[in-house]
Amino acid sequence: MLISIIWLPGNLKAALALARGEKAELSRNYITEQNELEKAKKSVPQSVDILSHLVIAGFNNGDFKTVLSSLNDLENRTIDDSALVSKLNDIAARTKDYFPSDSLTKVLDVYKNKSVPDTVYQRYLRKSPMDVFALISLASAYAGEEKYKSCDSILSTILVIDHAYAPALNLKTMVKRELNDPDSSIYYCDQTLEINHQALYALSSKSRTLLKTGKNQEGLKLAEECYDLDKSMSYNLATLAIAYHLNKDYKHRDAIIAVAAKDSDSESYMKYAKDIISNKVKFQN
Amino acid sequence: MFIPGFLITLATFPGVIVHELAHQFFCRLFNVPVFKVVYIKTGNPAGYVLHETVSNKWHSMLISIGPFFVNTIIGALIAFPAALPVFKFDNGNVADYLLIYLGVSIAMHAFPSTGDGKAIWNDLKHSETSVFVKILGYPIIGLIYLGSLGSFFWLDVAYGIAIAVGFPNLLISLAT
Repeated sequence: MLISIIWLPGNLKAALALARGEKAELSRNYITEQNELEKAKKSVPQSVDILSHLVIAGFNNGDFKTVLSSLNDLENRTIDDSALVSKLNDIAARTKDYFPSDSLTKVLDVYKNKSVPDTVYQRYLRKSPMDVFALISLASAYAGEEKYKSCDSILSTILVIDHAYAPALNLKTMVKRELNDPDSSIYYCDQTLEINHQALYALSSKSRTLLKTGKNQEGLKLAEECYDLDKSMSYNLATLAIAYHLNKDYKHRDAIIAVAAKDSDSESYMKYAKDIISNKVKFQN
Repeated sequence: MFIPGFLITLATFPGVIVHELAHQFFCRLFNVPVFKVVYIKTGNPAGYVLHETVSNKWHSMLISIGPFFVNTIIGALIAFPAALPVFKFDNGNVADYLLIYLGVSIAMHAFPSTGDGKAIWNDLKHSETSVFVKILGYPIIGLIYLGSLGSFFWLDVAYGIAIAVGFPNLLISLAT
């Protein structure tokens, strides 16, 4: 009886958090799911159920540190739920596309700490045209160089291979916005949000596209929604600063800029926001 | 499947002990002198409490049906934290299974015995027993005998499992 009373609060708290997490998973609210599961894991670190659902939540949130550590903890453990096993196997297989293959790693090893020229990826892709990681790397490089049309074409290729590949969908939203195709940009945001209703990048990117087309209030609302889910996401802090600026709420804009200034990761994102604020960059059409 | 009663009693002896302790607890609560308590024995009944005749009919009824509440509550409390790792976290250990066994054993002996039913029946027969006690008492006797009949079909075990395992799952589902 004493043992039960001692165990009860911790186990009850964890069970409630797990149940809330599973409910969030059914509603595709993966940020909520991961937050709840992290709480449950604190009380019951080796639970097969908690770890399995953490893999699912982590994958959908692009948190591969959580995915890999949870999969590692699940090794040699028995999972009775066959549907869950097949989901985990699918995620484990798809996770490979988020990391360079052995052959690509060998090629990239030469460029340690140096930027990889586009031609390296192009040559590699001639031999391995279906290597999704190489394709997204090249697309990102093109995006960085503002070669949006080339980037867009590669992203389309990736989405033919895997229509739910999150980095490609995310990059598409930005590329389409830069190509002045807001409808397409929002279409790809919605594609991502269909998979994960709390996809942070998609929410923030959609906010930017709305802001770009002059829908300032809608854009601000989405950026604030994203901020409520994650207050530290650098990309969205910049979006929020832009949104406040365009809505003429300078007090909140400056407060967000001040918060972001404390974090070095936010610097490059906030530089873009500051360029828009100072009219260095023309943002709205 | 038929399993002799004494084997079930032996396998679930913690429940029998708690059942008799519950009778004893209610006797103490109502200041009814207890003459003898047998917590467990082979044969029928598996245990009993001999106490002085109770003049207050409500007290008498509560002494008879007390184990229903005590065994149910204790069984649920013991099994609750152990049922969660086993059925929710897929992470049960030996201690969890032991606690679930204890919880099921205790909860399945929650039903008052036919001996308890007879004691209530004898009280209800008295002319001075109030009509309210009778209104409540007769259906209880009916339920006791139904429970006794149901135990041939493992109703007591089903009840024990429902309290020890089903209740935690139900509570978690309702709370989220």
